[in-house]
Amino acid sequence: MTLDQIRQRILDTYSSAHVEVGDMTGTGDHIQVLVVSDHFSGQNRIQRQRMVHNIFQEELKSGEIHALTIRAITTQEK
Amino acid sequence: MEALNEQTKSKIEGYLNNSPVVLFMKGTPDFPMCGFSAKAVSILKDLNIPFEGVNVLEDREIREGIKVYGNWPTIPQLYVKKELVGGSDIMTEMFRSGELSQLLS
Repeated sequence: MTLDQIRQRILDTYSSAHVEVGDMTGTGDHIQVLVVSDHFSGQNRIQRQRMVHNIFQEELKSGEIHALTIRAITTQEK
Repeated sequence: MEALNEQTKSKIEGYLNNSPVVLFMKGTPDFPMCGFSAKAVSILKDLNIPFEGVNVLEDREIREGIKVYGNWPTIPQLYVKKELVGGSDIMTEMFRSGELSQLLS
């Protein structure tokens, strides 16, 4: 999965989000994402991360994505 | 989400019942085998918090089972008083904000 595909996948779910994606190790399987979306308001940290985990359920399970570092914030928290 | 077998579940709950702070991790607290687990350990050590480290690399059932148990797909995972706090990202955020030391005090 390329970084663009990862970004697009997040936007498919949270279309108005601001999304930044980085490859932490250059190996394509340690991914860092920043997602800014008001869908996160009222959700605690665990719930927010689960919302993002769920988008990549298959890839996390298969190991295609080994590590997903997530920062999930609302536009107000930016 | 697949079901968790009873044996694995009770093994996990055994750890959670035994210690108030349990870190499911790759490697041991003295020799973490993954950067994220190392980070989680260093945060707990910084805070001087006694914790039980469970090396999931030594137990395949727990390695897969803990992901189902807490509905959380990655390791490390920090549990405090039997509740999932989160992985290394959440631990880092809560460490920086002071929430983690509050939670663990």
